[in-house]
Amino acid sequence: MKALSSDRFAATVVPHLDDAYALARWLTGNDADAQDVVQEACLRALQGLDRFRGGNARAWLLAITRNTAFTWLARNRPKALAATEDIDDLETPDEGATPEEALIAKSDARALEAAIDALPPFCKETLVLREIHELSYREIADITGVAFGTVMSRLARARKALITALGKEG
Amino acid sequence: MTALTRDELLLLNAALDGELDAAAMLSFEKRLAETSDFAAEYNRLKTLQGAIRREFIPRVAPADLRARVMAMAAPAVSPRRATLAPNWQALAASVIIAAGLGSLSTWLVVKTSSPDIPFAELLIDDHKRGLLSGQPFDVASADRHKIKPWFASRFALAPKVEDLEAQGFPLAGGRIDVVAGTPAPVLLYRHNEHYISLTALPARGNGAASFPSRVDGYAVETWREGNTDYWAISDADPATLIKFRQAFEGRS
Repeated sequence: MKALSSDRFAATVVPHLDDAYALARWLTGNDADAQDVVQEACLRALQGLDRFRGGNARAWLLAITRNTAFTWLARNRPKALAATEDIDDLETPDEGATPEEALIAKSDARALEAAIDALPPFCKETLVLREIHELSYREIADITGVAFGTVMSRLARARKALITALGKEG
Repeated sequence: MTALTRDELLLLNAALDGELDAAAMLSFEKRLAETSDFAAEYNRLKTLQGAIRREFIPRVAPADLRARVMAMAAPAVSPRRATLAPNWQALAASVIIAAGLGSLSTWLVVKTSSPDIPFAELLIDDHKRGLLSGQPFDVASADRHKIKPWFASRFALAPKVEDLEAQGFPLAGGRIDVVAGTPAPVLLYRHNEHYISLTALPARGNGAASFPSRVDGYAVETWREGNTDYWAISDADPATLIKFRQAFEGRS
């Protein structure tokens, strides 16, 4: 590596390492695999640094990270990945009682994390990019490579599932 | 309650995420005021969002991951296996030392003491850990009269603490690392943006091994004074570290 690309790497990739790790951690569900994914993603970023023409470095690294994570999921959790895309269950009427707003308000980190972890991968990814990384729909569509409307329906589905889960558990 | 339609749900989510423009927001708020199911669902979504934002502290990349990633692009990293054998620079340096001492037996001794790369890597890891923890020193001071007693109260033989500010290496502090199972004093010097970790250890092996200019992307210098081996590690460039060594030795 030349000093120049090392400086560029330090300026472009390294500042967004926490973001990459947080996303990988949510998608893989554990620390060790998240570290592997991020390391692989950073290696890809380093190799592709010449092709990065400026712009949003954070979104660029997140896109590489999620692609790496989904490759990893396809290899290691093929079942979780296969079962999910893309049944639109937004129309199905709620069964049972309306979830209590008070129960949702009381949810602690553990209950929330369990509920998010149980989401199908693409819904989870969209929710995490929105709520944890606070990205806009446009940015999420760009990073995940899907249509705007898909981002919207994945997000709505993710939240609906969370509300149902948390409203039940308390 | 009547179930909301798909489009209504998407609208609620978009409003929650601030993705509606002013006109759409206006008609959304009107509807919110008029329809109770709509408002109830919106409140649940808002509560959920609030809970997520309240409960999650941001996850940060672990320090060792960060170190591995930063090492990826470190300039002039030589692969480990290659550095285990002395390279030509190391050999050349050995020859220079041998010439200075003018003795064949010395030359043999120096030549066989190949650079102790794994040991240097231990110290490099300590250096990285110190910097990544955000607390590179246990005692922060630019005053050697503070640092020396701090070490003296912890070690039988306090390390030499030199003030090298005039030479461009102000003292930053001191810490204690555990090197190969033994606590060792480490002095922290600054040079512009860089830190230099200087570890003092009881002399071991033949000493005076010459190093490739970088190990794992870090510059390493080691030298012996009396019964002490000094190891200087830094992400500054190797030439700077040589100057540092000369400054330190010059004061002795």
